Amino acid sequence: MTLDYDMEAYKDVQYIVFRLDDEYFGASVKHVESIERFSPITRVPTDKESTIGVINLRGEVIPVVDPKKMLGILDSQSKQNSKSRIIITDISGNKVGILADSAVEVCEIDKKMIQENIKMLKGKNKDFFKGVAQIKDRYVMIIDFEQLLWSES
Amino acid sequence: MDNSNYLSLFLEESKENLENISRNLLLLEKDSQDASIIDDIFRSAHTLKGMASTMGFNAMASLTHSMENVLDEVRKNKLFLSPAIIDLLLQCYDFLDLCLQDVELTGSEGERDASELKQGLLSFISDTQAEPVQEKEDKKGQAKAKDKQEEAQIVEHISDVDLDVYQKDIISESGQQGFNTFNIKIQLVSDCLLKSARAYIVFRELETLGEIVASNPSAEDIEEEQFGNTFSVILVTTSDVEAVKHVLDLVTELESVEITQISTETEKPVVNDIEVGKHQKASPQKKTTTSSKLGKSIRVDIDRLDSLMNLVSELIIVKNRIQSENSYEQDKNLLESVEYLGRVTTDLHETVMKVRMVPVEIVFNRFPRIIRDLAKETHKSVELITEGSNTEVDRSIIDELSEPLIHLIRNSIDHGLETKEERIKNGKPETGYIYLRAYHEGNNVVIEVEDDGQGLDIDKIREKIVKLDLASEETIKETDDNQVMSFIFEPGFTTSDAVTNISGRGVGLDVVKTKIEALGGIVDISTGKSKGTKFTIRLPLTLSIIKALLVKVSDEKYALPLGSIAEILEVESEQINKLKEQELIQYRGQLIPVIRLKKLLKTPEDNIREPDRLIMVIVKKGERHFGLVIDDLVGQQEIVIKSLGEYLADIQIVSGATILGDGSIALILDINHVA
Repeated sequence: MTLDYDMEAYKDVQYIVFRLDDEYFGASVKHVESIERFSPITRVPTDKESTIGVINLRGEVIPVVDPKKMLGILDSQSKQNSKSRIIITDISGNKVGILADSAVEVCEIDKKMIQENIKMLKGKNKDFFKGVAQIKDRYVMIIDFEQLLWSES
Repeated sequence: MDNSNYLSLFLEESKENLENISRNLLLLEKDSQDASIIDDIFRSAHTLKGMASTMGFNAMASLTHSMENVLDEVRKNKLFLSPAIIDLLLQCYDFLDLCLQDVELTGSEGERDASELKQGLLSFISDTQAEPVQEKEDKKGQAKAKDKQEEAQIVEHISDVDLDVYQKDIISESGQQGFNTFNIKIQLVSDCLLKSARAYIVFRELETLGEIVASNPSAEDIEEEQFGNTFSVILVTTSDVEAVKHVLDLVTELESVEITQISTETEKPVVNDIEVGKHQKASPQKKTTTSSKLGKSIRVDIDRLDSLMNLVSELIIVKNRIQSENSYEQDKNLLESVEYLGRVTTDLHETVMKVRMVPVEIVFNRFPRIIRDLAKETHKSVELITEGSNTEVDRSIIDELSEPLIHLIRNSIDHGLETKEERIKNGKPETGYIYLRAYHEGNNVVIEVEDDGQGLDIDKIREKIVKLDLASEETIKETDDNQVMSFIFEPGFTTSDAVTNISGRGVGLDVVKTKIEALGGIVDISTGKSKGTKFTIRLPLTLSIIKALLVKVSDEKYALPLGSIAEILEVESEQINKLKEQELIQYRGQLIPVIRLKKLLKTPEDNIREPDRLIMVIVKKGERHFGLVIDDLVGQQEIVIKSLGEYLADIQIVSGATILGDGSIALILDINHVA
C-alpha cells in the first residue's frame, strides 16, 4: 500500500505500543477502538489455533485472538494476568480483540522513523510487518492489524 | 420538489398495485366476466399512473395510461377480454415490473421502449372505436370520450398550466368523481428571498388537501428557482375554495392568491349531472373508508423496528441478570416485581416480534403468474393451490424466501410434473397440482412445496451420484434412501438429462439449501415414485430472540434452541451400541445416532470418569432424530442471539452466542450442523 499523505500528516499518526513477552510492537491507532482490561474469555470450538475465544464487551460478543500464534515468532502461549490487555480493533465494522501482555503507551511515530527494509522477518509473515522503529531505548516492530487479522485465509 | 423522500413510498405502493394487477389478471383469465375484478385492476392501474406521473416516470405513466384505456373499454363492455388481451396486459405488467426494479436500483425508470406494447393496446381499442358510439343508458360510459374532449378544452382554456393528456385525464375523471379542481395562481412578494422554499411550502400545504396534478412552471423548475414571482398549480381536492384559501393564508410572503375553479360539470348534459350527484354521494364514503384504514396502519422503516428489537434484547439480558442474582428471592416484594418484569418483557418481545411479522402472502402472490408462464412454456397443465398464505413470518425472512421458493416451484413443474399425455397414461388427471402450504409448528414456520408428479427415482439418483463421482458405488448401495436423497442438494446435481430453459442446469437445489440454511432453517425432501415430491422448509420464527435449553458440556455452557429439542432422556451407558465408528441408541423403536458433544466441541480434557447414567438431549433435524450427550442441564431461558461476527464465520456448529445473566457467554449450537 502506498500512501500519499503530505509530510504534515505523517507526523500526526498515532501508534499504540504493546508488549508480547519481551518484545514491543506498535500499530496505528486508526484501527483501534479501545483497550480493555482482563475479561473472561469463552472458548469457541474452532481449528484456528490463533483464536482464543469470545468476550462480552458491554453486551457485544467479540472474538479474541492470540497474536503470538499469528506472528509465529514467539513460542509461548498468551495467558491473561493483571497486566494483560485486550486491544479491540475495528476494521470496517468487524471487531476483533487482540490479547497483549501489556499495553505500553500511545505515541506518535513519524513515518520517517520506521525503517522498512529490515530483513529479520520470515517470508510468509512479512505482509503485516511494516518495519521497525526506535522509540526511546526500545525497538518497536510496527505491524498492520488489518493485514494481520483479515488477509490470511 | 425533491422526490427522493417519496421514492420508497412510491416503490412500496407501486409494487402492491402491480401485484394486484397481476393477480387479478390471472383471476380474469379464469373468469373474464367478473366486473368487480376489472374495476379493481382499473383502480390499481390508475393509482399507479398517478403516482408514476407525479414522480416523473413518464414511460410507466404513459403505458399505464394505455392499459387503462383498454381496461376502460372492457369495463364498458365494448371490448371482450380475450386471452390475447390478457397476455398483452401481462406483458405490460412485466414491463412495469422491470421499470420498478430499475427505479429501485438506480432511481430512474430506465430507457425501455414501450411503444410496441402501447401500439398493441391501441390496436384493441381502435377495433372497438370503429363501431359507432351508442347513446344508450350505459353506465358512466355515456359519451365519456366526448366529455373528455370538451373538458380538456375547458381545462386548457381556463388554466395557464400546460397539461399533458394524462393530467387532463386525471382532472376530468376527478371531476366525475366529485372532486373539485382548482387553478391556483400564486404571486410571491417581490423581495421574497427563498422563492423555491416558499413555493415548496405552498405545495406541501396544498397537498394536505388533495393532489397537485400539474404546475407551471414544472416542479423541477420551481425547485431550481427557474421562475419569476408567480407560479400556478392545478389542485384536485375534495375541499372547497374556502379551505384552499384558508390553507394558503397561513403561508407568509404571498403577494396574491388567485383561485379559479375549473368546472367540468357545467357543460355536461343533465343526465350526467345526476350521475355526478350520485358519485358525490358515493365518494365521501369511499374517502372515509380509506382514511380510517390509514389511521390504523402506518409504514415504518425496518431499521427502526430493528433498533426497537435490539432494545428489547438488551432489556431481556438485564432481566436475566436480575433473575440470576439470588438475593432477590428473599424479598417477597422484589420477587413479585421481578416476576412481573419478566412477564412484561416477554410480552414486549412478543409484541415487537409481531410488529415485524408479515404474511407469507406477499411472496405467495407472485407464484400464480410464474406458474402460469412455466405451464405454458412446458405445455403442461398446472394448478396451484395455496394454503395458509396468511401465516406470518419475520420481515427479514420474507425477503429471502422468494428465491428458494421459485427454485422449488420451477423444479416441481419441470421435473416433478409429467406431461399431460403421461399423466393420462398413468391414470392421473390431466392437470398437475402444486401445493404451496405455510403453517406454524412450535417455534418454526413451515413452508411446503408439493407436487403430485412422478416423484424422484431413487435408483436414478444413486446412478447419478456414482456418475458424478460424489460417492463410490459400494458406499452408495449401503446408504439409506434418506441420505441418498440429500445428495440432490449438492451443487451441480441434476437428475434431468436434458437441460431446459427452466431448470436442469444443476444449479437450484443447492442454492435453495444454502439460502435456507443461512436463515437458520432446513430443507427436507420426501418423495414417492409416481406419487410426487414434497419439499419442506423449516424456518425459525424470528432471528433474534429464542427460547433455549442451557446445558453444560465439561465446564462450558451451551444453548440449544428449544424448537429443535424433542425430549431429554437419562440413559444407561450400556444402552449405547456401536456400529462401525458410529454410536447408536434405540429411540422409539428406531436406532438414532449418538453424538458426544464433549468430543464434537473438543472441550479441554477432564479426568471425570464417564458416569453410568448419561443425560441425553434428543434433537430433531427435520424428520430425523439425534441424541446429544451432555454433562448437565442448567435450565430453560429466553436468550438473545448475538452474532459471532465475520471473523469466526467459518465455525459452523455454532450459530451465535448469547450473554447470560452473569455476563458470561454461552455459545448457541446449530443443530443442523451438529447433527
